[in-house]
Amino acid sequence: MAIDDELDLLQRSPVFASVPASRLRMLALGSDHMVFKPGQAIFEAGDPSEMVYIILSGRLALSDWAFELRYIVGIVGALLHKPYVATVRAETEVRALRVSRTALLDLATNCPHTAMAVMKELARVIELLAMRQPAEEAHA
Amino acid sequence: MGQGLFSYAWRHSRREQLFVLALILLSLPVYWMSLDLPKQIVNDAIQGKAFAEGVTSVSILEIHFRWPAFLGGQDVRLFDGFEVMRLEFLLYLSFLFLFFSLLNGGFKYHINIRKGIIGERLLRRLRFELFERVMRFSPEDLRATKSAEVASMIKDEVEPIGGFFGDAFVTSAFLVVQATTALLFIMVQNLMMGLLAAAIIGVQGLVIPRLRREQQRLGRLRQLESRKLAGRVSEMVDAAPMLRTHHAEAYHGAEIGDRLGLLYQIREALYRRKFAVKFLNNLLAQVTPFFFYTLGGYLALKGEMDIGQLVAVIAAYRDLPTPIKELIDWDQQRADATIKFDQVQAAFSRHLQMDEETPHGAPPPPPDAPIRLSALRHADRRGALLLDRLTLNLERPQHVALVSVSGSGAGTLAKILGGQITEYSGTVSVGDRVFSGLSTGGARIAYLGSDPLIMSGTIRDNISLVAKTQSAGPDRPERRESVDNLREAMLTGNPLHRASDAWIDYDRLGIAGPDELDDAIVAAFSVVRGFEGIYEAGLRGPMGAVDDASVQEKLLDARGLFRTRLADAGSKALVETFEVDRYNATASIGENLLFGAPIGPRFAPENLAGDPFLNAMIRAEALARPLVDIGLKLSETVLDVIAEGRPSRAIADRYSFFDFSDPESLQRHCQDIRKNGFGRARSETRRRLIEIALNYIEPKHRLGLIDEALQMRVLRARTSFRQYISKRGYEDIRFYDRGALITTMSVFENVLFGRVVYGEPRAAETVQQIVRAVIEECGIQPFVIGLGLQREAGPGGRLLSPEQRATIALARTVFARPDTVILDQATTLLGQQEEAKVMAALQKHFEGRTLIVTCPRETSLEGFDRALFFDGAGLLEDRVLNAPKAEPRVVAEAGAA
Repeated sequence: MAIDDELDLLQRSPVFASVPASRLRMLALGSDHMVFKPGQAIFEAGDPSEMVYIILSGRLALSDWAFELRYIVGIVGALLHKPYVATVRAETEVRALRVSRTALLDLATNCPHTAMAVMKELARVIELLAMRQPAEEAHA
Repeated sequence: MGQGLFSYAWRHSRREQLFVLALILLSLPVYWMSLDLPKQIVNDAIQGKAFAEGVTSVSILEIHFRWPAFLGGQDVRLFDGFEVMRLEFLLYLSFLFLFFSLLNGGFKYHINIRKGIIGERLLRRLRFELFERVMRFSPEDLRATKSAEVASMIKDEVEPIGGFFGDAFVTSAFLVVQATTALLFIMVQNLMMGLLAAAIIGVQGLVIPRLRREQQRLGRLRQLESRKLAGRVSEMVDAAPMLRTHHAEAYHGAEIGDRLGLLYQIREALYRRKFAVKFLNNLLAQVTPFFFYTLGGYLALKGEMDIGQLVAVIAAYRDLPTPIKELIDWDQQRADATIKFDQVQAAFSRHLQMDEETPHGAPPPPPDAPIRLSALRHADRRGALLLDRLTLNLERPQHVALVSVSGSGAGTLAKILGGQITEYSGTVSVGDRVFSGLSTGGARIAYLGSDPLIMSGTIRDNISLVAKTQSAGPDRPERRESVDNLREAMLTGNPLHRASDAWIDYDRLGIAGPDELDDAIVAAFSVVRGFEGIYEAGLRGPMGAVDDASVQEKLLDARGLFRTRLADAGSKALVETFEVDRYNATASIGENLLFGAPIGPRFAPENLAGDPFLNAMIRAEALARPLVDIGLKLSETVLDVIAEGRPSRAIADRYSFFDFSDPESLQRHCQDIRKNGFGRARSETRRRLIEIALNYIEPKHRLGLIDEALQMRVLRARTSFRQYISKRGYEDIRFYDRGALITTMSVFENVLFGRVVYGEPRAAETVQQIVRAVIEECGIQPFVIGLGLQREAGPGGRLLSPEQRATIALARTVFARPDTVILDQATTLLGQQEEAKVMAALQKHFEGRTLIVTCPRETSLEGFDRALFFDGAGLLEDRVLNAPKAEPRVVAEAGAA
């Protein structure tokens, strides 16, 4: 899949829709396009969180939790610079852009739209957690 | 040493010097003859004195002698000689003159050679002595020594001393004798002329050395200053990264500028002196002939001297200034060399020398003999107290932590035990032996400090050097060359063993021979968790030529087996193998074109697009235009990136073949091609864009620039490239061939014979695991490890990371198999987590032997038998953590733990 197709997909996602195309392109240019087979782990709990995954297509499953991660995974670890706290697996075939933690943080610092996109995604997860599992702490 | 230059030279080269002096004495009559003959030629042959009063012939070559008067005074004629006429007589005398001149030259030749040899031998001895001395400096003095200064003294400063050694006795004797002979000769001819010459020589000999004294003082100053300059320059070069960080180059540059200025001033004053002296010298030399011509001519006219004499005197005098001048030079060299010699001596003997080691043959104290400290006290050279009156027993074997609560007590004790501090009061003894100087009473104690000392050479050399304590004799059978070398070494007090001898003491390492050396080294690395580093270096570094045919075969087997194992693991898709008839999407366009590994610079990626042959292939397959298009798209993408601001690391890594700092030229190329089209763009533009395009990898850059048609063309170009490359070009590239190894690639790449694909999760890890499993299965692990050990450390280990250096130093300590190991912050470079793991491993490995470790306060004391807490210079607490082992275990090498 070429970068232009990836950008199309990203621009249609609610999280990244507001990010300028040129910024998204920078993100994509510095990323790897990964393909996960169903059941394959995106990352495992305890792995160092050097990478963040921006999901292009497919569904994910979070170990032990029954809520859906849809757009960005690994962002909590990236922000806190701690190892991943949970294992994330592909439920269907998953296509994702793998971006290094520093590249994403760099972009977020320079581009408020990206920062906003990340915040939106986090807010969405918190909302999910608040509605479904009020007792548990937020993990993503 | 410890004596003057002359006595040093005399002591070590007496016999040779005497031999040369004898040669000089032998040469004297010859020299006299070469002076005397011109007189005879002029007087007897040319002016015909011998043929005066009607004598028509004289006899030559007659041999006769007269008994002294008290024996009767008879004339005994042994040979009557030949009667010759005047012309023959002239010829005879001339040839005789030639003969003696040649003979004189021959003497000079031999004397000079001998002199040179004497000088070089003494120089070799002196240099080695100096080096040996530095090696025996006390650790305190070593720390205070600037290595560059020592190196400059051993290398450069003693050089002129060496030259002078040969001259010390010989030249002075030779010149004095020569000058005296000439002077005597002149006096014999005419006393007055002789006295005149002697007077002028006297002036030269008295005045000029006086004038030169200032010259010498300046010379000495210059030497001291240039030595300091060398020291400072080397210090600044070492500290250059720090200086640059803090922008302190200007200040330090100014200091160097000052020093150079001072050197210039000294040099200038020196020149003024030198040439003034030279002028005076020349003047005296020129004035003398003036006197000779006037006075000598006058005497000749008056008939008190004949023309022959005058000619001979002038000839003798022409010979005179040279020895005199040289004698004055010699005197100056003497002064210089003596000063230098004394200075070097002072520099090398200021330091306290170490006591001799425990005599050879005495068995080391048993490994369980306790170390006793009594009233141990140490203050540094400025008087600060670092360790105060410590008295205690360290039983062995035992694992002791020297915990530093504050201050330096723990480190100081570790350094004293490790022989790194020798200026202490009180005693340290092991068993019944007392530590003195560097000697640790013969106990096998290995100290490792925080600075891992790595030397240039391979990692293997760096580890195995600890087993090279004694030569076991020459590695190869005696050869003539080695006999000569041995003789020279003996004559100069140099070591009789050579570095090429067999040095490694396999018994001490507990192994059978060279074949097991790598295993032992790897075992040592395994103990300190350094195995991975060595293995990875061997796996990923360039493989080089493989001489062993069986290894070659195994490597090729591994290549085949890897494909099988990969398929077995269901991971066939993780690697895209090189296939001659398929485009490898994971490789760049350029790699696909070449389908081989470049050997020289010709087909290196940066030269690829400029190569005329490759270009011809590109044009023949009509690839130029599509490649330029790809290059253009890539360039525009990169220009977009630059326009967005500083490119991220991720992008810079993926587009590393671009020069991000020069967008202007990129812009120019893009405009050129857009404005003028492919056909009319400058060839430089096309070349540059093709060069860019050759780096393109579709799955990596994902710009969607490669289609099937392009792949087909690249494959066709690949085929013609292989087909038409000239025989010479063939030496610049090794084509991928499943049945052949590629020496410029790593073992990993050779086994892989392809590329790991992009976008597959954990592809690299999986492939790595399978490659390593295959390498083990095929039995080429030792070869890979050997390659890892073969890696160059660089001067001071600069080609390695600090962690690698620390690991090598630790492995070296383990490899040496000491009874007692002292680790003084030796693991701090490893980082906290790794440090703890390595320490645990070391404790396990040295179980049953003694381990003494300095620790900061917060370290876990797990695994230690005893902890000594130091606060400032004093012992705060002595805590037993585990009951000491009642039954010391037999010290046995556990090998790889």
